Amino acid sequence: MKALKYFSILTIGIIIFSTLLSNQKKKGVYSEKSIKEVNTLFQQQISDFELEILEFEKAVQQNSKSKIQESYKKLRNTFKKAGLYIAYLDTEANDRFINGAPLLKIMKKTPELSIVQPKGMQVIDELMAEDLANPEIKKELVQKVQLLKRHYKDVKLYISRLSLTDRQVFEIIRQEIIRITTFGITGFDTPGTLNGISDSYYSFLEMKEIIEAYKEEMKNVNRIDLYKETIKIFDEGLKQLKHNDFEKFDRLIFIKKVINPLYGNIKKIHFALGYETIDEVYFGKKTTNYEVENLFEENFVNKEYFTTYKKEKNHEKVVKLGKLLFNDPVLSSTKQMACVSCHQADKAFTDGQKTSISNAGEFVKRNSPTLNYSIFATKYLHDLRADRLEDQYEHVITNPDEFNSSYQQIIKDLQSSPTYQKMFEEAFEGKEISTTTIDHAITAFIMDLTPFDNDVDLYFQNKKVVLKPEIKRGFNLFTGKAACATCHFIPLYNGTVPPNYVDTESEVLGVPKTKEDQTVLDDDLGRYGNKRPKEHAPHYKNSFKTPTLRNIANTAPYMHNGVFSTLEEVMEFYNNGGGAGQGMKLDNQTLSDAPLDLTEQEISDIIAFMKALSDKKTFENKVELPKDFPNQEWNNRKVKVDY
Amino acid sequence: MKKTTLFLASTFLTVAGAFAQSTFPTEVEPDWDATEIVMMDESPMESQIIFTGGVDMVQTKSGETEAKQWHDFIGFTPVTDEDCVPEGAIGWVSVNHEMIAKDEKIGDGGGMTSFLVKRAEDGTFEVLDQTLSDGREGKFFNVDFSGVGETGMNCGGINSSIDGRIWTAEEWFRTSNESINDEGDGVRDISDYTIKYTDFDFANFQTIEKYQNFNWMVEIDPRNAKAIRKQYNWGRQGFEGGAIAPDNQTVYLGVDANPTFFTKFVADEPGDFTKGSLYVYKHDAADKWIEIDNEDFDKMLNYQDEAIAVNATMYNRIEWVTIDKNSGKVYLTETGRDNIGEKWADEAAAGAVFAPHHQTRAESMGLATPDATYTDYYGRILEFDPETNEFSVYLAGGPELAEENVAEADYPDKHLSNPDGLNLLYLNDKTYMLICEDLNGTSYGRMPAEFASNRMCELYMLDMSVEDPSIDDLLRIAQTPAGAEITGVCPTPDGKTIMFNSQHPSSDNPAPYNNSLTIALHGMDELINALEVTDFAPTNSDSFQIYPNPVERIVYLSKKTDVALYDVTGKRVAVYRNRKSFDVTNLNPGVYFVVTKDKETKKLVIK
Repeated sequence: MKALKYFSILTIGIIIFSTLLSNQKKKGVYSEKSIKEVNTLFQQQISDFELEILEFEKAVQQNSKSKIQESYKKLRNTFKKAGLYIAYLDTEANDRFINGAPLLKIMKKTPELSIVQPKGMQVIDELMAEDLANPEIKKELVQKVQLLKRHYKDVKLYISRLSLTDRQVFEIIRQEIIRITTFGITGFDTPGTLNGISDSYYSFLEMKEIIEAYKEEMKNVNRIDLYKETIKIFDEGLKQLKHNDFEKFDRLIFIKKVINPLYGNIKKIHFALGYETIDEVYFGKKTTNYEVENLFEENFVNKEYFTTYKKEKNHEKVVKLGKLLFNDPVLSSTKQMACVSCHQADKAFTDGQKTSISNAGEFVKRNSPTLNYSIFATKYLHDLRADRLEDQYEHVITNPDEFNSSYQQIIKDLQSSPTYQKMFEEAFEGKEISTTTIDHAITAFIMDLTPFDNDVDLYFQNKKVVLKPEIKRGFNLFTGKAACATCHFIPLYNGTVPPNYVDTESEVLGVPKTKEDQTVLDDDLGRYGNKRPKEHAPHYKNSFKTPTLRNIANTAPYMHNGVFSTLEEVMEFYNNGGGAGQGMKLDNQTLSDAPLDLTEQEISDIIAFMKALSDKKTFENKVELPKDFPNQEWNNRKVKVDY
Repeated sequence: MKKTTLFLASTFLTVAGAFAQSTFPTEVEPDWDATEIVMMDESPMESQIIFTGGVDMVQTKSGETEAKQWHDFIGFTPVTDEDCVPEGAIGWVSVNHEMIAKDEKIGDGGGMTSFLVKRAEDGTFEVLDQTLSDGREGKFFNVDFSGVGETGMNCGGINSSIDGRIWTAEEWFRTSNESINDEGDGVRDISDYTIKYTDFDFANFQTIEKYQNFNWMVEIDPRNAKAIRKQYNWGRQGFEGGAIAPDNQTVYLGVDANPTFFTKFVADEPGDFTKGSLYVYKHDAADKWIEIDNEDFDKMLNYQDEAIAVNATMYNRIEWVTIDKNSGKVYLTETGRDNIGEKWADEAAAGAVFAPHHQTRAESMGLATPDATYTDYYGRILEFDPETNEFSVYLAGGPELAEENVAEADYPDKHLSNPDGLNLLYLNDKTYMLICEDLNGTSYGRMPAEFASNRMCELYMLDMSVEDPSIDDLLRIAQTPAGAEITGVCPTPDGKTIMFNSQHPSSDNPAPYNNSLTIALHGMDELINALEVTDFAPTNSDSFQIYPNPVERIVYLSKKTDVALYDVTGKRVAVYRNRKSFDVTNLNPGVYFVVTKDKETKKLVIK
């Protein structure tokens, strides 16, 4: 017995020793191997894409339509396996040359206004949906492919010399998950062929292969369970994406069962392996919060990126002060107008008017936009003339039809109230009443108007199990056939472009002057007239900011001029292909002028979905206005409502 | 048995611990005593905001109003013995406003602001009260352009190193009245302009369209805050910069255009720039400088056409120009433009010729000439030697694609591309080059992948005694917040202070965030003296060493490696991979452990 015991201990000892040895060996090899393997894969994919471009270039010179299509299919599949690296490593070049939207752009930092033609895969995709037998189309296609080849050469030269780190690998995957959700399955990426589902399949294959490289590392940290769970989600995604049917694809289920869990799990893997995150590498503000696991959570996009205001321990006091300023007519020269005049809490901070009412009781030029979720933008006002909320206030304050005042005047007036003085002092720890503190207080108030608690949010946050069938159908139409989500990007439903969230877009829809005659264009020039010299480009004529659709049930009437009073009217307009689709003379419409062919049932489903975008949390206007101004008249001030 | 289990358990524990995948665990227990301490001192530089657009009040002929924004060029005019100024005043600062906007008091268009500064005992600046000859009183003065037919888009300029004379450059080239009028929000008076009573007989009583009176170099008098003359004899161009040679006769001009033609003016008499000859550079001509008749007003209005007609040499957006007053050599920023080949095609077809360094680059990219597919992402600083009349590349922006250096050296902490503002600072018999970066884009490594969505621009200094300088020899002086732009760098003649503007700053910036700022950075002399005695550039050694540079806020490493920073609690706060340096600008002051992947450790104290 004794001998046996020693034997067994010895055996165990040997086993342990050898395990130790082999593990030691593995550790050295494997910890290097994952990233090494991923880098090999990355180099392979970016080279394969170049080869496929050359193949496609040959194919388009031939006359066989089927050969061109076959070659294009291969090009797309290879692109989807390389695109995630390219877009991450050189976002700007990707947008300009490789896979930008097929729209005219302004080149930054040139000594003259320089408009650049769209280039890259999306432009090629549009052409692939045209008649390839047409020599003009063919010629353009050849030209675009050659441009792609030329520009990709530079991009590849740069990125091929980079070596990915583990941190970057997980960021690449998480960015790609956002891209698949917003650009892939919605058809944004494939404006011509609507090949987005098949595209996403190949993106999934690549992401899965990357994660498979981490199998041994996950074993080493004893989290093979998490690894296996993640692979299972990839497989579920691949299964759902297998059938390339753009209209039938169930995006709602895909996001709920695949996208959100995967987005969370990649982070969990990253954290389990203990590699550094972007927060330990770059200390400036980021547009997304890396630790958030769900695309529909409040802090998925980082609000603080969009403002110069910094949330600190006094935040609640600052918000309270902001709310007061927001509601106080003392800011205007008439002492009768306040922010609330046009932004009322019960109407999702709009005013229910076609266009807002001036300080003299006249209609101003444009419709009041909602303030809920307005923080998520890098351009403000319908014509995009301001870059931040804080820059936007000035336009209201100095506008002769609105506050007709100045910061100097407002500061002087507020300083005469001891209550205000005290509140500023407490909220900003001794800083005085200034342009900055006024702006920051109002911004703090507005940035908190984002509860992310509508039915669809709650469903995706797994706080609500059931959604009504019409809402589900509506979501799938919104993100699919009706193409709404190609401009109103989920989950914000506005024009701030994922996955980087640094640009806010505008669109030319051909919004008519009246709804009775939808062939006559509204004469507001929009972005073209925003007085930014470098945006004075013809393609910005009649272009307006893409607003959020959150709370849309509460923000009627619609469009920059409030021309439509119901969602039904809005849907009819879009279903007809906007202005141009109805015969309006407009050559720069960015909305497709082809009818959407939505049935009445489909339209009603989309409206049901949009109505489900209403927040549960309500806000109110009620405040106690300070009444200690030396000017007694002001102490009886009220916001004038009856014009 | 119990013991055995224990033994087994503890073994597994150790093993599991050892198998964490990251070289740098998220938490460590630092050994406080065993590590060598290295200090990162506070920066010896002191920065001071001296002029804020939109906030500071300027004196105009119609009263007081808020200063315009969009600060760009800065000029400094030293006080001379003849000036009657308050005690201690050292000179006038002139700041450009690069815009076209209507303004009841300042005047429509762009403009300039000038003010007089004194150096206080603590070394900082104090803006002095003045009463000008036209009766205006105050601190900041709007330069009056009403006598020269208004101004607009005042971008760069010329600051003579001889006597501090100032010219402002009207940059953004305009081709119609509509573009300056901007539907009534720009220059409102767009009636024809008749040039009168100027020093230029060939221009007097010529009637031109209003927009044609823009895009000249304009001399101003900072003492009286008044424009003196538009240099109708230097041609109408999208001027950006220029420099006066030590002979006080030759002027070299930089023009932000595609293409740029390099131009010089030679005055007949030193100091009188109203009479002289104008030349355009053609590298492959026998004389290199080809005269353009500058008494022919039509030729002056259509200067670009004249330059093309003589087949002059094309450059890619020359911005600022400066001259080393000791060597006489001219330095120019060729800021670059990505798709420059496309832009040159027409002029090349019309006979203009490519600059040799672009021809060389094109060949290295496999092109026969810088044709329509030729690109130039990074820009460079050029050196022009007036003795030989030859150009050479002084400092290339990068990471240049044709080379293998993308991840080398101090990149990404130092990443100079698209240089723009340029000036020279003289101290202790040495010359230092000051370079402002103004990125055209973030692609192709102009911004490292970590920061791709946030464009930042830097101000660098280069000790010009370094031979064949590269980006690694640059010393980072300042960094703007995301979205902002550093412009107009200008040293004071005593070498103690440099001034620069932070134009349209955005997020992350300390208040007043939404205004253009003129900032003075004091202590340059102390900084340079410190540099003379301390070598921050580490030599390669077997043992791991760190060299913090308090000015740059960069810590240099003795070898290229991966490092992690742990705070006092042992929490990992930063990781830098494959780097020879790291930036601590955004770390809170305190004690950190710097650990390499080979477990070498140093304690770093950031003050």
